[in-house]
Amino acid sequence: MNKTIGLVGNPNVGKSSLFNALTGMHQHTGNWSGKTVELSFGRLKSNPETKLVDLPGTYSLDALSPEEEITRDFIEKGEYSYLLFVCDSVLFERNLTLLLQVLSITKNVIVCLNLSDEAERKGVEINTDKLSSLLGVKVVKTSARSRKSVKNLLKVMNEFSPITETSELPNRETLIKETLVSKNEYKKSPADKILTGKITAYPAMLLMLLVVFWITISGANYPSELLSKGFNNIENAVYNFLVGTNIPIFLTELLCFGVLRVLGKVVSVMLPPMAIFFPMFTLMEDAGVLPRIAYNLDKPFQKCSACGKQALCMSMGLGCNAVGVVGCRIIASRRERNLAVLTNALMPCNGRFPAIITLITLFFVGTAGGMINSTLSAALLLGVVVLGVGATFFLTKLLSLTFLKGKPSPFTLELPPYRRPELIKTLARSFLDRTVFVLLRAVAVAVPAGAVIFLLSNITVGEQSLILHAASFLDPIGKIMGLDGVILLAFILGTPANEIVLPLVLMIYSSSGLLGEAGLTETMSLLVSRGWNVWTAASFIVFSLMHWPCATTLLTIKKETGSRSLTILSAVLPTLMGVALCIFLNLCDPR
Amino acid sequence: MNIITLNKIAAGCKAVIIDNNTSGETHRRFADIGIIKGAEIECVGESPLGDPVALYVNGAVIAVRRGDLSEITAMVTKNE
Repeated sequence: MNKTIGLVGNPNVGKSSLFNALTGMHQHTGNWSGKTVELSFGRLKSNPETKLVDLPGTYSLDALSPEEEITRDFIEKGEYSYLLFVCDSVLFERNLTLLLQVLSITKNVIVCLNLSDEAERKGVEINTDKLSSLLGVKVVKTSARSRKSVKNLLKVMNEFSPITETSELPNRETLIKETLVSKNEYKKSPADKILTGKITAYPAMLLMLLVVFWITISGANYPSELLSKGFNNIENAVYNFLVGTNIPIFLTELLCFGVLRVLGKVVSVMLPPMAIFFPMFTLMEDAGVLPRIAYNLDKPFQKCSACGKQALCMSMGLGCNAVGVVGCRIIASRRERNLAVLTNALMPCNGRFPAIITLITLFFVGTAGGMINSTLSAALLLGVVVLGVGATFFLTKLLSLTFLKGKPSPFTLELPPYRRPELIKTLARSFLDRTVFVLLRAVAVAVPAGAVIFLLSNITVGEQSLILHAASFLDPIGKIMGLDGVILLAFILGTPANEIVLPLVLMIYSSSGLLGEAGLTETMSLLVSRGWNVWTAASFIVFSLMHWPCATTLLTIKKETGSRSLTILSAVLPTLMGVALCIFLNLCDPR
Repeated sequence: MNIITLNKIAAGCKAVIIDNNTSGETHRRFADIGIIKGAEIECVGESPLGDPVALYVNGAVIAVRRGDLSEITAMVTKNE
């Protein structure tokens, strides 16, 4: 028998955790409003013929955002056997609004008083039997972490039979009076005193970011090296194998020195940082830290006619801009969402970190290594990010005065209680998600990019390869910016993946025609021999920060905004900013 | 009798809403969260830059911008 069950409830009630527990399917849960923005489908672990739909959280069926509309439409359509209404037991009163609305449409509901373990801890007590008889539906206490309670829920679900008689619903006050035996009083968490305190908030946030960067940088070093060596070996093995076959040498070289080489670079540079950054980000998210960040930063965003939630999209953009752009869906207002989408690329993603860090190390900090130096590197990287934040405010304000004019929307953001994230589970799941995502993207990007780069480097017109022709063509523009044609060309060719920009520069400089392995000292001497100095490095870093988004991000922007002109703006405006700032830096260069 | 417009509320204050002149989207959003006439709310903090404020209402803490609260009048029942 084909059954469908819908999961309904306020945002932040642990609905997705319960969904996971019932379906065993891997799905991400977040601890701030509006996170589950797409319908998730699954099947009951215990009975795979039964479909489960996890609907976006909503406060009421009056539906103000597309996500809430989806929920309302689903419930009103009635194409389900029954609904699982998931309630936050701690915030029982608030959840009643939606519950009473749902019950006035259908009585085929099972109420789950979720987070019951937390409620018990906080001294909240609800009389479940009274509630059940007053509402006329089954009520079950659940806690996604307690397997026993989930089993109990499944038992109640199995015994469900449709309810046809419609009895009068009691009003809200009566319900609360009769069933809420004791409620929780508000207690300010010590963490909030620091994270949102007048003097400590901003330093605390900067410190957190610094720590995240430090862990990402130090943790990624060794794995990156290993992956690099690994791909080298694969490349050699494939080459040696293919050379012995009848495949034309040109194709073999295209595959090995073009495609595989770029693939190896992208994965070894990108995978370790992403695999570290995103799990940490997810932990902060599950713990409830992120809404506090939006809360702290809302005032400056207000001044730019935008929304504090943009800060969260920016944080995601630090990991990957494409992910950040998708994350902008948490902003309900279309105009404010577009502001966040168009400025997201001003946050340097994990793909750009390695080049920035390498140049910071070579030109600003020194290669000695050690604790002080790595902290200094992390601090300078933080400085670059702060510059990106400033640029974001600037561009947001500019856009809101020109292309994206409009009224500010009302801003409400729930600050949920801090929760202890399920450390191992979260880390494992996020790590796997990220790894798969990076590998897929690397393959999709590396195959065309690697082939193109190889062809450009090896097809000669006259005396020079196409790549060198292109570089000389771009040289005049590059020189005005304190860079050169090679660097600009590398940025252009690096559009599919920012990870290959610096390797491309080195490749063209050494005219080896191949992306090679270069240690820090060799890199430094190569750059210096081509006229690089501190100012060149600074211009490179600035342009890396402010230029068009990568190909994946551009495609995502087009998909999310549905507008070609906005997508073009998202490429043009940051680039103009980058060019302007580079020209300015070049004018400052006393050389 | 201390009557204020809610945008002036300070951390530590408890107040009961006596008049709600919000309209449109703001009104609906507030209604969903529980910021309605007759509701008792407590300001449990403000953002480091003074805005938004954190309001404890209906059992949950919600961050709200002062600007959005200017159409609501409330009677202060407890000062910090």
